[in-house]
Amino acid sequence: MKITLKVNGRIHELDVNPNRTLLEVLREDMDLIGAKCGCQTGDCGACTVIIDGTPILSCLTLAISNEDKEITTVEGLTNDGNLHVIQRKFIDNTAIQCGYCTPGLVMTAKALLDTNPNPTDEQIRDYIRGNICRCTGYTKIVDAIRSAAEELRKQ
Amino acid sequence: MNSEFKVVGKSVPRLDGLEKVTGEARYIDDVKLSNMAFGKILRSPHAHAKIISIDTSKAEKLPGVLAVITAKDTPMIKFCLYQWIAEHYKGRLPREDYRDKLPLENYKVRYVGDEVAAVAAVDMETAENALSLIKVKYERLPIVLDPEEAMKPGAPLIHDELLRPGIQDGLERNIGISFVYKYGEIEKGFKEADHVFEDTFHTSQQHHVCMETHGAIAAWDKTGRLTIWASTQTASPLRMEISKALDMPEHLIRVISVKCGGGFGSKNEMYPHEIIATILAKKTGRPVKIVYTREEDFVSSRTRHPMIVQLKTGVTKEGRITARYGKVIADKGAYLSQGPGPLFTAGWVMTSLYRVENALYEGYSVFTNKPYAGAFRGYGNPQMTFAIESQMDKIAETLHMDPRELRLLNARRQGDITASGCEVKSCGLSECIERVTDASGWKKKRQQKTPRHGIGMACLTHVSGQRGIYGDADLCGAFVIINDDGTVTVLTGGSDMGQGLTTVLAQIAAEEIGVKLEDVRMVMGDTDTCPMDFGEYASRGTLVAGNAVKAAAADAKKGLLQMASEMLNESPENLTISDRKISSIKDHNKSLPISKVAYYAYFEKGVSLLGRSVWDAPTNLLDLVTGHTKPPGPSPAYLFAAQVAEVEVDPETGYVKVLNFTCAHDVGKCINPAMVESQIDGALHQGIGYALTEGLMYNKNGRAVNATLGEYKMLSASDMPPLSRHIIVETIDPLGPYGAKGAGECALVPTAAAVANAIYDAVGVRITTLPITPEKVLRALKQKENSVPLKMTLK
Amino acid sequence: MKERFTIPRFDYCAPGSVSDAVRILGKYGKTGSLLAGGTALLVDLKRGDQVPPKMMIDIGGLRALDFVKFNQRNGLRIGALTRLSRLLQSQVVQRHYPAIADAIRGMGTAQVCNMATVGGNLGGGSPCSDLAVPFLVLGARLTLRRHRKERRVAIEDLYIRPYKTCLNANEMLTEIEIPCLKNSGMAFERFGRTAVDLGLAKVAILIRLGADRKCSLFRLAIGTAMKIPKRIENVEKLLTGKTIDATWSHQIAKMLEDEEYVDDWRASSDYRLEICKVLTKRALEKAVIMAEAG
Repeated sequence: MKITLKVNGRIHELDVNPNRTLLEVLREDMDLIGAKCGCQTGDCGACTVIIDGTPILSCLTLAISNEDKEITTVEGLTNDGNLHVIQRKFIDNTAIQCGYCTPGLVMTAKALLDTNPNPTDEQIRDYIRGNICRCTGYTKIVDAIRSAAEELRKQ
Repeated sequence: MNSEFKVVGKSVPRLDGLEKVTGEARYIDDVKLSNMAFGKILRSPHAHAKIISIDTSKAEKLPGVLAVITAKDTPMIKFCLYQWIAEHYKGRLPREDYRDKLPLENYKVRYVGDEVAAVAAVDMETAENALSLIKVKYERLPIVLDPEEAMKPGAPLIHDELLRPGIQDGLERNIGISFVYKYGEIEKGFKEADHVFEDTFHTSQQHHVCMETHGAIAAWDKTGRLTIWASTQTASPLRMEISKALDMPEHLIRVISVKCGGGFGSKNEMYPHEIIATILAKKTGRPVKIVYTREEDFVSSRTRHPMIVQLKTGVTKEGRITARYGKVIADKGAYLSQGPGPLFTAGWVMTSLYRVENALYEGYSVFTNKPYAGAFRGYGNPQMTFAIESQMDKIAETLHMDPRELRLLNARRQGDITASGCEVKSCGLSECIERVTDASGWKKKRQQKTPRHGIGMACLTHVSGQRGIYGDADLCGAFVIINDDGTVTVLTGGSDMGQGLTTVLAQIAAEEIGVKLEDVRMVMGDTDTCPMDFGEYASRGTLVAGNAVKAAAADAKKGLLQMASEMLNESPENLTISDRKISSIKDHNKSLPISKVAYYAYFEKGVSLLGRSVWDAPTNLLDLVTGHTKPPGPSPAYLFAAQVAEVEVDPETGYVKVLNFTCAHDVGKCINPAMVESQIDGALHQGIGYALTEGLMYNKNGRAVNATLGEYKMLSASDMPPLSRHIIVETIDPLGPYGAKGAGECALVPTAAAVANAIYDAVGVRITTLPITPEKVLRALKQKENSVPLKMTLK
Repeated sequence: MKERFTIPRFDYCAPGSVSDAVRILGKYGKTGSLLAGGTALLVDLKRGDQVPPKMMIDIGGLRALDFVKFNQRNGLRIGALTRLSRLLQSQVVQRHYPAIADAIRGMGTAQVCNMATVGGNLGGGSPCSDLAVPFLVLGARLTLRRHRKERRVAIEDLYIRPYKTCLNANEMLTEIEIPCLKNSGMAFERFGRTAVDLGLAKVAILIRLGADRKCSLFRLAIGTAMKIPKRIENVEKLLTGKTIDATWSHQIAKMLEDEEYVDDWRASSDYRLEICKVLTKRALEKAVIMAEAG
């Protein structure tokens, strides 16, 4: 079926079978490999993208259900080669190890800070608890998000 | 403390952070090759069954299917990682050939998930559809899921095909490997004891749960060269293993380490899917990618060994350990994999953490019809340390001693040679114990008890480097090339599974030569271009690879300084490199840019600035059969740490909340403090999970019931406590590069015991089986209260 | 190993109105599946736990069923396609029906809350539905629509057995109505092994107390710990009309021992009983505080 998806501000005209998830189409048809597949049950959050401002598991939504929506992936955060504050803070705060969960976490963090610019640590943890990281134990990820929130509030 | 170094000791951001945070980093599933096909493996639904017949005809006919294979399409060469070790002990082990796994089984399946057939198709959807069209006839066999049951006469035999008539080598009791180690005089030791403590502990089948599941891509070129894109911790050994499994020479195999989304030990051995992918690639003439679903990853990748640990310790009334007896029954699962490694490590810890001269250790690695165990961060140490450190607190309580004092009394010290013969050249254990108890407010919190709150401690020792996994060696090779413009390229065979080895090695190279970190480029884990490294296990990366890179860098630097000395007319000893310049120490104005000197070397003198080193740790094998070694022993260095856990227990539900963890770790010279901190954080996450929530569970048919991320319980970001800044104790190790040892692997070793001890301090119940679920705590509390105990089934 | 990366194929349509949706559903019946948030259905299809539908009827975009309306007379009306996040963020829900807000907070991660719908949470008949538990004590009524017909059922009648509801194959849940419950207190408690867990037990209580602390209304519902979410009528009968005192928790605990609990690898039935006792005690305390605050 012919569909149109708007991803990171660009329109993509695609021909996809209805059974394909948004995650598959992003990764296979657009080579936007940032969003990852970590499970088949919606538990890991590694596939998180932002759709119309909210964090969504792209593995549990069909590509075809997402026409007429603004889809943002981690590739869409970098602006002209400049990292988004959240991305920079992840690097500066040693919040990355194997990196597999990182794109999903960065997008969840963005969704959080877009809606709640001044979260407490407890609120950060509660918001990201749908993202699984096996490497970092979450402390430095929370540090990174807190630090990003501070800097974004200053801007 | 760090002022003498420019790069080493600094928390520099990891080199591959940028590509990971932008989504550019490519892991196996992100790698796309032209004309690539997709493979899927058909796995056994039965825990134990004979394969009677396999009908692939329907699957072959499905449009889009390119090939369907079974065992007959493979070289039928069995493999297991342990064979590399067994080769070395020929004649001294009960068997010569321990290999027990085929890439696709032909005779029997031995666990739910065992590999039976495989498909390659033009896309994943077709491959998945094709699987359901393969018809396998099985003859189900009785199953055994418990290792103690498996050892009993009459138990179903899992590797009956390996039995040799008339020979009893353990296989007739489903024992893969066993050994007995004797140290000192055990009877005398127990006679000297004023108190003897005997306890049994059960640990769970923890799973690595790497966020990236397993997978590989295989492709052949027209000349018969094979390339494997692997998510691996051990690229060079993988090439060796593939070479044996396919019976083809190594120079025709290239292993490329793709970005690795987590390893923790699960990616340090060859897997069936790597061979299956190569065969499908051969048959189809196309590159074939296989990636595991999460369910597959849970059951068909390796796990931690569940162990039953029986520990008997004798102490004087002052608390000095006089003797120790340990018996471990390790639940191996269906196949041998690494063999007894973790069993062996468990025995080693018994005489290593504390000064124990008289000991007897019996270890049994027993087959059962379950997903099988391999290497997992800690490698047998967490299991034994859970036992040792839980029991130490029991001992302390009986002797009316502060657990801290009991540990200090018996602690391993620098200069010791352990009962097995290991020489401890650097040791910060006592300092770790003292500093962590001070920092956590140990004394005060134990005296002024907040209701429901408890504080507990535990210690660890672990190896940094280990001789004997691949023959009588523990080596790493490195090339350091100073390029013609003065930048540096380092090539070495090791891997970065996220722990940050790439960055640490770059720091070492930069420090050694005197170049800026951003002028160093790391090339790792490609067997065509990188010298062999045995890989990332046994916390050897920083120490062994670090030494190789340091030595190779020094070698390259020598050539560079030789050139500069000619150009500046100054002897090399009087030259220093810094800020991209080579200058005379006496007269800083006498200097040249590195780029100029390098250019001179290449294009005026025709001299290569290639530094090389193969660093083999100056160690001795720890004999697998006797458990003894000659000093210095099998590891160039040992790691130590102490951790303090604070918990709150809800006495109404048994729910345990971890409030805080304070850790002091002896890592030798700390090359990158922020990364070490991060490693400890992550290890605590796995350690607390091991203590409270994690473990694969099975129904009576041997099927894992919690093989999803939702049901295999791990602590979420909301459950994890914020972790305090960790105390890094730097004992400068004589063998480590800049005195550095390992850091990241071992931090979960004492964690479960610290939590268990804290729970006991909080509510007075000691749980000896992992995970310590709320149900277990509540049941123990109710039994303590003498109210009606809950029903039997332990969950 | 039933788990798949790819979802098996199906025909697809995205009806633009509720009447179109039920008409198509009526045509396909059991061979049609309603796709709302996807967090349950797509997981089941990937896990091989559900037969793939012939026709996937995508109702996720039906704005007409995405609403949260409240008035003092009729109470709360929730469209079946309202995302859990919207329900959670509703001021009306937080103020007048805090038990619903608590249920959503406990179950939903940020992503799932933004995707899963109220109708999806109930319609699958999952014994672990968190929303079912407060809805049971709040007396929710569900509107079920099929082609040209509509009926209303009480939520007590929704669950027949685990994963089987009273919905016919050609019926769609469109609305949930909850009466305005003045002068009452409510509470929701859950117990999970970690902060992201289906949970071992959920309890909800609704209570109305007179000035003399006499209880004119008492409802207790338990979910996940038992086969299906349900009201514990024995307890309700015993305590309605009585004056509340310190023995209530103990009385309830004793009566809970007569119920049957799930016994599985996650927890034994004995443990779930203990947890239900504790959660009920805690929910009662909270609900009474709210009831007395008026």
